[in-house]
Amino acid sequence: MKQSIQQMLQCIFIMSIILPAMLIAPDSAWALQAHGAREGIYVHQMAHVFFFFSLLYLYRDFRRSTSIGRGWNYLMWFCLFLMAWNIVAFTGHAVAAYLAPEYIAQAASYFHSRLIGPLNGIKAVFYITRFDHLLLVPAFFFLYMGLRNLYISVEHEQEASEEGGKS
Amino acid sequence: MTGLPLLPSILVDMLGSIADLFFAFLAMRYAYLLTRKQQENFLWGYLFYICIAISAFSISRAAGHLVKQFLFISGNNDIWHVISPYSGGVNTLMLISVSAVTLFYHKGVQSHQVIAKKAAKLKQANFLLEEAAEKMRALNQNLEEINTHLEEKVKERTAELSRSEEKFRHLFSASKDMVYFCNTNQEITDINESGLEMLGYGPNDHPGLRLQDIFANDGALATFFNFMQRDGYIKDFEAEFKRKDDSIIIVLLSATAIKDEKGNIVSCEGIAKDLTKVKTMMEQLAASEKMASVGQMAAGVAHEINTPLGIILGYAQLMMDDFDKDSEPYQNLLVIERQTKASRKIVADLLKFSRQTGSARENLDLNEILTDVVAVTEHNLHLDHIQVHLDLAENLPPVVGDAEKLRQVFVNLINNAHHAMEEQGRGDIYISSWFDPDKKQVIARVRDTGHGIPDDVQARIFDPFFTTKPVGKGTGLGLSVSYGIVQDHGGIIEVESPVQDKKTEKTFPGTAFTIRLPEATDTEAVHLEKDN
Repeated sequence: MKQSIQQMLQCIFIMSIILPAMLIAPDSAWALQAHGAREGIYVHQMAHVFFFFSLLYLYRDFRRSTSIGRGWNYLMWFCLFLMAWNIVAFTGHAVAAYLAPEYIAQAASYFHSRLIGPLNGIKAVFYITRFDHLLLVPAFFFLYMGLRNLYISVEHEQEASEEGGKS
Repeated sequence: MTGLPLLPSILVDMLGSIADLFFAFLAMRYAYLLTRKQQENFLWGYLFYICIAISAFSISRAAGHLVKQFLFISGNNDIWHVISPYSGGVNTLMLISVSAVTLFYHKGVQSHQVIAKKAAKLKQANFLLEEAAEKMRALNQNLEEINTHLEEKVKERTAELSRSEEKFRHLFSASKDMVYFCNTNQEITDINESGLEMLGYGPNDHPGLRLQDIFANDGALATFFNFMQRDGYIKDFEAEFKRKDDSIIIVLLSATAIKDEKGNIVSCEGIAKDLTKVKTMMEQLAASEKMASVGQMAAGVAHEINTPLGIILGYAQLMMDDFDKDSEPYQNLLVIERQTKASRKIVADLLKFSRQTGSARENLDLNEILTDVVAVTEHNLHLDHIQVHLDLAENLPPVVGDAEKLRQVFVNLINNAHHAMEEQGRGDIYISSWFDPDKKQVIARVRDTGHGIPDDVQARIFDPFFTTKPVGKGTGLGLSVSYGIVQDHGGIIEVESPVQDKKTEKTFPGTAFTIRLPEATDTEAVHLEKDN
């Protein structure tokens, strides 16, 4: 018991010296890893992949284990649309990296901005992926519809059971 | 200028962001309502968390996009470039959060299923338990009913038993006859108070008697056992029981042997009735009958003897005239005359005893007779230091009878009392009278404090010529004559020795004679003459 307390005190002593030294002199000698600007997009893209597979897993679970009903069907559609959105968003982010900023011409008004031609595959994909809300909004709509239907079905079930109980 | 306008994408982005927010919050609302509706349902809770994450994600994304569009529209692109990394970072974070929450759905559901399965099992177990409890309750109710019924039955049986026990206990304790139980060792295990009293013990005594202790006669005990062994019972067996003070009582005994299933006697129970008084009464009755016979015989004899005695006396007196008074024949004739007169007196007494002499009947005051008798005898009594105590009831109703004969009765009784106390040189005579309105009897009692009359003599005292006095002191006719006179008056004469005080139940030495005479029904004097 005494030994462990002594070890703990030694640790605190060492840390109390090292941490201020690191803050005062953050030299490369301390081997801190730097995070460049590109790391953000990589993390975001990985998050999309992670989200995609988690949705795929959820979809699989819905199909496999969840009860049959319109509400659950809507939720499955939600998964599918959101997965699709992830693909689109991932693609959009990916192609954006290959697209130089000068390809977007901003006129006097932002509304009049244009993607400068000539159009190629990357530009076309980039342009299409900018409409990702066409997948995201239906996905959220299906989520709303799914939960609404589930709520209505539960409400009906309760009413039916209450009526059964009364009769 | 070739290219594609970005306006559609801008508009879709702005409107889409708004729509995203709208649907995400609507979905969250329904998810929340679901959790309210079925709070215990894990799935709704989980979907609610997904919706929260989605809403947060939509806020981060839509808000970011809308801010971006508005900044671009307003030409503040530089500001967006500052905000952009933060917006993107939060958006990425939300994306990961939603993914993480989504990913845990499966495990959550699995856990929920396991829990639900366990809950279902628990529910089933609970249901079975409730069912069992219900059965137990029903069983318990049945048991309670049975119990209540049983309690009632037990109470009823107990009450019956109690009543029966009380009845037999009362019969046992209130019986005036001896009731006893004995074991195979002939030990009396239980005996009622009457039995103890009969044997001279107090009600709280536990003498620990055996049958051989109370049977006065070993032969009778052997006979008793023979009957019990042979027949299992004995009925109306006359035996003598020995009391605590070694006096003997005569009992009529009935007993039954109690046998086990093998036929062995395990105990016996018996009832004994005290016949001593009945026996005494029977003896008295027999004596009375005997005296009646003797009286009749005496009357006949007296009647036959009286005439020759008269002739002898007459001739003796006639012859006495022929001789000189100093001559020897005269003296002899004098002896004849005296003895003849003595014989005539005996004959006259015999006739009185047998009521063959005439008697007068008139209304009499018994107190007057008693006072006269005391006046005559008191002097002699005082000579022997005997005190007379008179306790005469006032307003005593009259009796019908012959005053002279009744005086003779009381003189006899006082003389007997006198003789009984003569040896001790002192004593008391208590003379009392009273009226018993129930029996309509006038009662006179003469009690002395003398030596008393032994039990074996009591039955014979009214016999003619029976006397305990020395020769020449009495003829043995006094009490016989008194008996005859009282009988002639329709009365009863009773003797008690030693004397027991009915109030205090104390026993005094001495003898008491009680004479009960019927109250006069006719106020007119009745005069009857009956010649011999």
